[in-house]
Amino acid sequence: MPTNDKIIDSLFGSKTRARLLKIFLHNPALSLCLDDISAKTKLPKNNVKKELAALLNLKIIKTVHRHDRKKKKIKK
Amino acid sequence: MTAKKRKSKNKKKRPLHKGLPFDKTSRLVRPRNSVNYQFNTALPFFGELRNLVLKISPPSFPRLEKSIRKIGRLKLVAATGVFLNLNNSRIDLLLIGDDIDYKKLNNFIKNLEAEMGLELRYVIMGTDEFVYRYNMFDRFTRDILDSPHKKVINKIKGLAT
Repeated sequence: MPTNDKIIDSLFGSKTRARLLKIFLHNPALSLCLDDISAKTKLPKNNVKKELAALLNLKIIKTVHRHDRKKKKIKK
Repeated sequence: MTAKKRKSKNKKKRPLHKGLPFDKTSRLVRPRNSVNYQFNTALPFFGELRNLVLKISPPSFPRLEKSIRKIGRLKLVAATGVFLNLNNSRIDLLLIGDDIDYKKLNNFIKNLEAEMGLELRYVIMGTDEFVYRYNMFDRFTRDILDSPHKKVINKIKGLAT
């Protein structure tokens, strides 16, 4: 019988995609940039980029712009 | 003046006001408008997908055991927490043993984290310390071994499998 990790890898099409989904689903509130994702999943950036684009197309993942977070109001 | 010195004198200095050199790998210097990615929680089947992925994601124990053996002389390895889909456990992995190669351990944990997509909470202890703690009914070790767990390796005498 195939192991769990093999099932999930082939169910989602690739190891990269399965790992991406895992990392995002374990912490849905977390937003990560490409460098961090590739470091955390130990996968090459090119693959990650490709899969991210596919997931973005499906609207499973959304983008958050970094400088949005910097616009914090400063209380005087 | 030697040739080496002249060379260093002629080297152009980067003007300070132009800022630090752009480095993609550095965490401090990153383009300001780089994009972050996040899961779209507005998906109608978000909960279902999450359950599916989290439920089937733990790696198989035989494979885990195979790679864990290379770390050192491990006497006891117990997997709880995320490995058994328990939410309120103290740790995920308990490693008891001697002569542990910390480089290999670090590598192993990093790989496992990459595979599972989360940060693992693990404890590593010497055999003597563990036996001492277990015999004096230390709260921490007793808690782990009383709660549901799976012993991947167990070579300690007098401990139920």
